[in-house]
Amino acid sequence: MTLVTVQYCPVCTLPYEFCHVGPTPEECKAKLKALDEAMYEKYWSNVRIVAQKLDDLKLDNAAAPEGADGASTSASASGEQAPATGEAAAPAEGEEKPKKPKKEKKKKSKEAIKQVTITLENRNKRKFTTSVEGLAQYGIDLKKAAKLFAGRFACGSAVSGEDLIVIQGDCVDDLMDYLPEQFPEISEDAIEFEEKKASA
Amino acid sequence: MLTHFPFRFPWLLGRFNYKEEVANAQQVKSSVHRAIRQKAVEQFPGLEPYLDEVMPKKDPIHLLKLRDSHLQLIVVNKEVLFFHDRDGPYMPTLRLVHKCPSMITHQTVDIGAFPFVMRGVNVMAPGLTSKGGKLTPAPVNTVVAVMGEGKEHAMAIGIMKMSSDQIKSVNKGIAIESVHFLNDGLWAYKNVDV
Ligand SMILES: [Zn+2]
Repeated sequence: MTLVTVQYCPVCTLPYEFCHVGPTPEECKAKLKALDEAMYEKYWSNVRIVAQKLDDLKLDNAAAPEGADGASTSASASGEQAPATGEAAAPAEGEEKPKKPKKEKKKKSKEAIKQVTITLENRNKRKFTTSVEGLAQYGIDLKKAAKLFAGRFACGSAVSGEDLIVIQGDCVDDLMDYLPEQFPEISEDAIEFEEKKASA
Repeated sequence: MLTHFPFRFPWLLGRFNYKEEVANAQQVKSSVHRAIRQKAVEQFPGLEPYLDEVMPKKDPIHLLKLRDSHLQLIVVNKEVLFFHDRDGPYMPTLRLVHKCPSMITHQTVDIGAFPFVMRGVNVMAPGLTSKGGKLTPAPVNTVVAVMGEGKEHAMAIGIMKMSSDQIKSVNKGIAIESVHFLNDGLWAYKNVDV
């Protein structure tokens, strides 16, 4: 038996048929056109059709109300809900999923929401600290909250500034789940996550 | 509650650096070499005709243990072929599945699910049962390749969280847990130095 040889794009490393959803579709397109006209025709002619289909779907989604079935997503991330056609439930951290309906919602009620920001900071290579900002707005006792986190995540945690708690270790996933659970007044939409790259 | 997965796969998240994450790399002795080949074929009978090509008897197998987890990568000729957790099932990498597609069960998702799967999101049941999708009969916990409607090559590897019958009857919730997808950290890890 002989193995299949799949041709991978030299630009984005994916099989050619996935270039259009890769990180550099335009470069891939230009490169393949220069390399092999026939292949270019084969792969990029039907991409337009696919893209069109996807756009249509997106429009449908935007039109439909944001009624993602609140089905208990069992083990998976509690973070984001699926769009109406039903596909999501992100793996653990829902960091960078652009979701149209949500964004619009956020803009509208930005003033009303008291933002809680979770920041993941890289100290050296594999060591992280997680900081939580904005809990005081909810009238939460910071000292107590810090102790609570320390107990829950089995790590060091301290108040270090006005309205700032620093937790040792990477507790982002756990916090995302734990915050709304422990303090029901904080809605999941109010929690922001950002990651700081190592300075070194 | 803390939501612990049975496994955690660091490459699904953007940040992953193998130089730091690989705790140790070892060439396995011949008895383990035999056992790995055997387990691979037991789990993927379709791999058998290709076995001597992808895992030749004479070529050394290296096991890379990852830090802070019980994940192991099985490397032959500088390429990751399988990964697994403790004694869990072997999960093939996409590059291996591309080479011998017939080794594994395929599940096809519709075009609406496609962009989500490409970001490593778990496959929900409707993505398989709608008219663009195709559901192959398989029991729960089967390791499967996720294909896209109209695409030729696999774009993700996952574990069935429900049997195909359940998926059909319940038709909601997570059907396949994504463990590896195109262009994730594991895909980017090629030409492994051991
Ligand atoms: Zn490309």
